[in-house]
Amino acid sequence: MIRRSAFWVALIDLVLLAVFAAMNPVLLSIQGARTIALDSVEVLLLAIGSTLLLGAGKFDISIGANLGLSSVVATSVMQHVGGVTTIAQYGVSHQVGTYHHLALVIPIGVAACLVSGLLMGTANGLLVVRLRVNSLIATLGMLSVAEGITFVLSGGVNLAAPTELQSGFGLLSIAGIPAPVMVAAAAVVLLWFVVAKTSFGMRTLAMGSEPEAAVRAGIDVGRHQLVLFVIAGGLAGVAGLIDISRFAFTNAAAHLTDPLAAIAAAVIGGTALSGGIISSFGTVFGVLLTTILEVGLVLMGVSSYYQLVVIGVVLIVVVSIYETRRRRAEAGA
Amino acid sequence: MRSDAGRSPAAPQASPAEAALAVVDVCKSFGHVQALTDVSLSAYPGQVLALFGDNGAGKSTLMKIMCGALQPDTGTIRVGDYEAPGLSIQRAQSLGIQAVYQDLSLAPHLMVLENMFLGHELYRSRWPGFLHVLDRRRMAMETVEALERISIRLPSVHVPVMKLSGGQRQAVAVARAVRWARRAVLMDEPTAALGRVQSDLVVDTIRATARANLAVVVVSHDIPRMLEVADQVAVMRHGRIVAHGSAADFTLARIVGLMVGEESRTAPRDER
Repeated sequence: MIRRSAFWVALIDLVLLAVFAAMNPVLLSIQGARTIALDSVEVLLLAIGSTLLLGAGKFDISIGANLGLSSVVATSVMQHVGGVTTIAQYGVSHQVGTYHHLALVIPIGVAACLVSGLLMGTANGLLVVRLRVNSLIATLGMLSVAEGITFVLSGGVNLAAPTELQSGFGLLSIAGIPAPVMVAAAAVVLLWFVVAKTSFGMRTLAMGSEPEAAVRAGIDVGRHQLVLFVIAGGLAGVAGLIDISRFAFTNAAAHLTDPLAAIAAAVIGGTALSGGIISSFGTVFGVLLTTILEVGLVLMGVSSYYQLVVIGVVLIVVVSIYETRRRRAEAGA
Repeated sequence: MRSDAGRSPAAPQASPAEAALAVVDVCKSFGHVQALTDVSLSAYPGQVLALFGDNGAGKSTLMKIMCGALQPDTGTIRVGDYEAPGLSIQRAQSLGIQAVYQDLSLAPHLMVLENMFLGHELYRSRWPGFLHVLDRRRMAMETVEALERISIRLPSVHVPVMKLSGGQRQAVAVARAVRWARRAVLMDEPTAALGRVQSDLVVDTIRATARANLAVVVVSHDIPRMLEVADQVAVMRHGRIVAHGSAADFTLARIVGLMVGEESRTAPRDER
C-alpha cells in the first residue's frame, strides 16, 4: 500500500523532526503538530493535483497563481456583495466597513473561489488538450495571466475577507483536529482511493507510462487529461478558500513558490516526474518534509528563505537517486 | 502456387471458410508516392497469413489499413457483414480485429493484468458503478487464463511490464490482442529485436492464436521462422502483391527473389 520511496521520506521526516525537536522541544507538542499540519494543508492540496498530473506525465505550474486568483476573486465578490472595501496604509491592509448579508456573502464567496479554481484548471486543460500546447508552457502562460488578473482585481492590496470565515472554518477544530486539516486528509484518502482502486487512476498512470498505449486501448486521453487539469484547478480553489479562511486576508504574492514546493513534494515522495508512477502517501510525507524544514528553521531563528534552498537541494538529490535507480532497473530488466 | 506478378491475386480457392478479414482493390498514396496499388488480400479463421516484402514494399501501410490506423484512397474492406471504404481503430476493435504493433503499445509501469484489461476494465459489483472500482482479482484470473490459452506462463501477472523480458512482453501484447480479438489478430514484426529463444516463444504464440480459430496476419523480415508457422504467404513489392498462395509452395530463396524482383529464382524445398 505504501511505496518504498514514501517509507524513506517518512523516515527522513522523523529524523528531521527529531533534530529540530532536540533544539526546540515545542515541535513535539500538540501545538507543534497542529502548526506543522495546518501549514502543510495548502501545499498538500496543490501537491495532490500535481501528483495526479505528474502521474499522467503533465505539469501545472500555475496552481500557486490559481490559489492566489481564487482567493482574490472570492474576496472581491464577498466585498462587493457585503459592502466592504480594503485600503492599504504604509503597506498594511485595513478593512473599511462591516460585512452585511453574511448568510449570502459567505456561500457566494465559497462558490466563487471554487468556480475560479475550476475555470482556471479548465483553461489549462483546454490549452493542453485542444491546442496541444506543452503543459509546462501552457501553465507558465496561465501563471502570468492569473497573476496579472489577481493584481488588477486587488490593486496590489491584500483584501479583507469576513472574519466569520475564520471562526466558522479556518480556525475551527473538531475533536482537536483543525477543519482545514480534515479537508486535506479527506483529499489524500480520495487520491489514494482513486489511484489504487479505480480505473480512473489506472488510466491516469497508463497515459503517463505510455500515452500511445492508452490511445490504442481506446481511451479518450484528451478528455481524461482535461479532467485532471480541472481537478488540479479545483484543488487550488479549495486551497485558496482555506487561505482566506485561515488568515482573513488574501496574500496572493505569498503563493508564487507553492508550485515548486508542491511538485517537489510529489517527486520527493516517489511520484515519477516522467509519469506512470504515483505515490499518494509519499506526496504527504514530501509535503511534511517541506513544512518541517520551514517550521524548524524558523524556530531555530534561521530565515525561512533558506527553506527554499534546502528543498531545492533535496529535490535535486532525490531525483538523481531515483534516476540512477530507474536506469539500473531498466538495465537489469 | 500463384505468382501473378503485377496483379493482386484473389484469395486461394481452397479457402476453408469465409474470410475473417479482406481488403479488395485497395490503393493508397502519400503525396506522389504510391504506397499500395490494387491490393486484394484475405485472411481466414484458423490460418496464419505471412506478409513479406522489402522495406517500402507497402506491408506496414497495408497492416495499418487493416487495423483502422490508416484509411485507403480507394478500395473496400470486408469484415463479416461489414463492408466499407475504410475503418477506424475503434470500429476495427468493435468488429473483433486487434493489432500487435511493433512497439507493442504496453504501459511499462502497469502490471501485466492491468495492461491486459486497459480500456476493458472489470469492476467490482458491490461498489456503486460510477466509481469504477477495479476487480483486480477477477482481472488477474482472466489474465492467467488468457495467457494459458496461448500456452504462455509468466511468474506473476502482478509484475509491472517493465520487469518482463522482450519475449514475455511480446507474449503479453499478443495475449491481449487474442483476448479481445473475435476475428483477426494483426502482428507487425513480432520477432524484431528478439533473441532466438524469445522468437520461438512468439512463434508458438502465433500457432496457438491460429488454433483459437482466429485469423493471424504477420508482417516480418524473419522469413525462415515465419515459414515454419504460416499457412498462406503473400509477397509484396512496390506496393503490389506479386505472389500469394499456400506456404508449402514457397521457399526462402523464392520469397527473396520475389521481394527483389528476380522472380525466376528458385530454390530447393529443403532450404526452408
